[in-house]
Amino acid sequence: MATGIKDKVAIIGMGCTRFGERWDVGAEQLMVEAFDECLEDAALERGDIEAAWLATCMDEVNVGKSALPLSRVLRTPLIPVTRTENYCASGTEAFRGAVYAVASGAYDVCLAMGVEKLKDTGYGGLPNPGSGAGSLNWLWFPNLSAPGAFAQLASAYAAKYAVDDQTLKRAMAHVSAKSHDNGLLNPKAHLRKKVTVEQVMAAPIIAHPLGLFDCCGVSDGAACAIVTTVEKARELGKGEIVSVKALQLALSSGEEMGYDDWDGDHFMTTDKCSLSAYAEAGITDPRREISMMELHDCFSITELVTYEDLHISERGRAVTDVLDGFYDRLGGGIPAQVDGGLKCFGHPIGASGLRMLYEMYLQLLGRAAERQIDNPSYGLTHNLGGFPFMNVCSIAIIGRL
Amino acid sequence: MIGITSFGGYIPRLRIERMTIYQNIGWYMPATMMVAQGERSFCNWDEDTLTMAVAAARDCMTGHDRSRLGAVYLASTTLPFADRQNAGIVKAALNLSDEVQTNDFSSSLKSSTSAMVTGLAGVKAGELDEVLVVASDKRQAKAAGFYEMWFGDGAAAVTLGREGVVAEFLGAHSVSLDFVDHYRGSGKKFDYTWEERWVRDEGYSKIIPAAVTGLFEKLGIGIEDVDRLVFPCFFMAERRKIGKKLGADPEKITDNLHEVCGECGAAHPLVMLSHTLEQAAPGERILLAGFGQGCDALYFKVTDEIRKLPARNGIIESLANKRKVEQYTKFLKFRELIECETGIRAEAPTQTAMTVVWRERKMLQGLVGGICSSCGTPQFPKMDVCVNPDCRAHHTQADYEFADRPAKVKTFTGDYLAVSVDPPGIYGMIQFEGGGRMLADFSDCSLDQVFVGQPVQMAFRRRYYDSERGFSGYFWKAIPQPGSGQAEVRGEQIRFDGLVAIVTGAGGGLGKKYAIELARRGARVVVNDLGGATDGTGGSQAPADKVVEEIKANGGDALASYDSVATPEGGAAIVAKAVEGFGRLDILVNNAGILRDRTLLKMEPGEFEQVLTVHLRGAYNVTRPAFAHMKKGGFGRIIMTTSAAGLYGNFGQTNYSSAKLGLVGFMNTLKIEGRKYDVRVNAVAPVAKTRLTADLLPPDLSDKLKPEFVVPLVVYLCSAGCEQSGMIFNAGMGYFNRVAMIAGEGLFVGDGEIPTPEQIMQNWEAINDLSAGREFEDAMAAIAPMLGSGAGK
Repeated sequence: MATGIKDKVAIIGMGCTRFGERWDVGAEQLMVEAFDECLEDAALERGDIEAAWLATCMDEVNVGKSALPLSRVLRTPLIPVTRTENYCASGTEAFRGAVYAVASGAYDVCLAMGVEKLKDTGYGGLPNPGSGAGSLNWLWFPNLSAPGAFAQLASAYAAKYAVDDQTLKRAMAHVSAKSHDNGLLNPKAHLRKKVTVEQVMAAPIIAHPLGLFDCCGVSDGAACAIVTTVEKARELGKGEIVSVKALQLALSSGEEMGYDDWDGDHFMTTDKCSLSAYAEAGITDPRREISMMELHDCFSITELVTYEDLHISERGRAVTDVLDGFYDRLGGGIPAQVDGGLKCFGHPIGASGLRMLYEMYLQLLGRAAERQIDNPSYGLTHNLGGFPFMNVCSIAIIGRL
Repeated sequence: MIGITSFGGYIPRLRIERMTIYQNIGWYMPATMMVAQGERSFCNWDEDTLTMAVAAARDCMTGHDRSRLGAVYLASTTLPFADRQNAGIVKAALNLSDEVQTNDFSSSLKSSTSAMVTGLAGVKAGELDEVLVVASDKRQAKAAGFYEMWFGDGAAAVTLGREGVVAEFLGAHSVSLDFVDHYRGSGKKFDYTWEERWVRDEGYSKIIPAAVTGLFEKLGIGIEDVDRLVFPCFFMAERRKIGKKLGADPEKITDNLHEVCGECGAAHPLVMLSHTLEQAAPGERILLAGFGQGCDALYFKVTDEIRKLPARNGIIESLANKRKVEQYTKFLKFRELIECETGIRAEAPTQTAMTVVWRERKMLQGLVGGICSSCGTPQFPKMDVCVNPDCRAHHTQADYEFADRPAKVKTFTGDYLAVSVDPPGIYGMIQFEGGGRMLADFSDCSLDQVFVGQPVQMAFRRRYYDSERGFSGYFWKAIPQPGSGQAEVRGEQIRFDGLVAIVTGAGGGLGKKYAIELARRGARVVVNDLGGATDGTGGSQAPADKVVEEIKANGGDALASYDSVATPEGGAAIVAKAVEGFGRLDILVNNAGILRDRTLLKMEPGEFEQVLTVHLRGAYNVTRPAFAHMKKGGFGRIIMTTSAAGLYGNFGQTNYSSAKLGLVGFMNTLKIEGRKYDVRVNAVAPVAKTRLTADLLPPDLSDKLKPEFVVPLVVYLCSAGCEQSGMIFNAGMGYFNRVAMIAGEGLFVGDGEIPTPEQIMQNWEAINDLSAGREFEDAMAAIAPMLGSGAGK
């Protein structure tokens, strides 16, 4: 009988590069940069790692296919390495591979690495796949971009809850502005400047009604984690142990875009995935029990509706909670995007899920410097791939043992 | 009897005025001024010969049984594929069976009439029950020439058969000659035309009459047996001459549509024919001629059956459904006559897999989805496992056509990032009537017109053109329907869900209307009313209770408050009602008021005091505790009810006028104190017939003086979207304006010394002059000119 992942696996080391337009390095150097920090943090050597998982999404631009880019670059000695890809949830997918491998008893020490080098495309925004999006998809999907796909949440949300456009725009702007306030305090973030609500609202439109500052940018980066069993962590003499409390995934069945029910204003996957994660972690009142979170803030509206899908804001109340400052770092509620989020880091796809875990990990160990939250217990990461109408939702909850 | 059994057409929406073309490029060829009248149609960037053909065919097939069709003929000189049956693509879009024959008729402007002659022969011989003939052309012309002006884009279609004949075919006669008025060699982009004089004199003038006369001889008829003479020729004078040559009354020559769309190449004979048939009466005799390397002449007689045809858009509706484009560069870009920078993002791979196009032909070309035989759910695309989460049956789906199903917009966006020929790219999710939904590109619309709930219809459009390989790819797009109930769906954008409002004096008159409307738009309302008489005496719970009852009966939420605004305790209790009863406070409408009208000399101290207390102190008593809550919540909207009496004066109302202008003063300072917290306050001077104005306003204007005419302004001022603060508005009978305190430019008198009253008198005009008047934001700003800092604010 399956018993879930709670308190079976510990994270004993993590690394994260500086994210940004890293013209100076390629994916190869980024992996080593993150790996070096991680090994030092774990106080282990390369030879201690028994299996690894590599997350990277856009192989057209980036490192190419298979898991060989990791084994070649990190010089792992003939160990198993697996390539994972699940759109923007790829990073958490690599983590998942490593965690289950250790929990199954197959290995003692595993590595999860996420990396993406997006700034070799020659233009801003995600790479345009054209017929590479799938030979049939290419023949009928609308001519969409990521901002446009997610922007549709806004028209649906506004229509359903009868929120006027200005109020919704202001709430979305608040989401971005508060993330920037957090990114200011993070030396590893790409964007470290303050942005006001007025600036966000006045920014040029990318996909109506999302403006430039409602969208996260594209950047380069890598992050990784070393995991082991809780028993082994104790054996290694780790004092404070950060353990995985929940690790859940939910994928669309095609219902959103093919069946008549979905209103277009939320994520069916996150709605269910979060409940599974809370059950696995033993959390009954997320609004009270979650201390902090890193959500997939590719776009401000995504973060806004996710507050409701995580069952933290009531349906239709996210706008009020946002404007009340409930998700601000010093707002008295649940700080979201404490490290600055995708908004300030940009989104190197394979790396983001692990970067989110990195911040939660630092916070739990009291190492978050100026961003430190007082005595956090549970940290939640939400890493979403795809589009509102067809997506992969992965949620991880970590905490102190 | 055989003949035409149905007809239809399609002219693309876009128009450019020929004068616009001339204004932009006429410098290069000034002679084109001669033909720069009217407007011409042109394809949207995602339209081409095939998409127009499909649109015309569908229009023709409106309410027409498709199962009789034995063949589809497509006529055009601008087919997208030199080798791949183009008519086959039209057939696939109509989802016709494999046994239906297809044929392309091309390489001549008379290919459409030739296709008709051929089709009629097949029907006459009994080989085919019914033939669909579609003609379509998108002719390219170089910029700054006559042909750019003369051409239009368009398509039309007819079905030819023997059942339900609306125009009986009585005979045809053709001459085929290698007369080359123009040509276009294979692989060339533009036509090569010879001298117009020769084309007119030796071509149109001689060849059309030759075919027509030949037809007359064959059938033993004359021009007197023809009611309408339908033939394309963009040389206006030549048209008249040909008519004259044939002995035709000028009225018989049908409009060639130059002014409203231009000549649509091989499609034009059918465009003109459909246009004629859409207006023809039974018994009319039509002679149709198509010209191009010869001429076909066909003779028809309209039957009674034409009255039974189901309504269709046709050429007439197409012409009416137009959108003018002002930018000549858009015209050029949509026709790929200029190259624009698309950036590296546009370099995405574009190869099309033929295996996929074949395997999914019904889905891609026919917009055919599935319907589950197990649960009855229509779904797109058709897949092996049903999409219904409560069904999920395997292999249960039958074909289900979506192309003609109406749909509505569920979500949408306008995307400036996606590579687009006409940014922003507009797309979204649409929901079909009867079930089923899909993500679709929208076309023929602008972003500001699209809204959730808007009806759309599907159209066959060109998705992309792979210029590397010369491949056109097609799929269906959603076209928002023009002028479709926008007002109703958009109307209620201003809502107050989740917000709490207090309206004082809401037991009747204006207050009651405010309370009811705010509640109807989602606010939870505290209905406060002392229930007294207009002079403030007495009290009763009934007025407030009745309004609360009415709000609840309409599905809203409200609480009654009977406290008097006249005391601080009363004001605090009213606010407490909102905060304890509903948990928050966002909006306050200070509306409570009484009257004690007297001229000054007759006004007792008590009467002056009482009116000031209820209006002015009353506003203070309620606003003060309300403001505390709004400040905490970081949001507030406050309305003060002022009056024309206070702003300008009204006989017998010194008490009322003082109070009403006092409220403006209160607002002026409160707006400054509230700014930081997004607490905004405005004043409204209403003119309406209520208890307080019963004796003041003329009775015959009662209907126009309904309080309802003031409500929309107050509701707007209470909304989050209204960002103004400290403003005064008049509202009454549907009329609205803003009132402001204006200060004149003024001047310094006395040169720095203390001026004398005589100097004041001397400068009186300048002191009083308001012509360069302006407003000031607050007292400090208003004093600035005195401090010599000229610009004030």
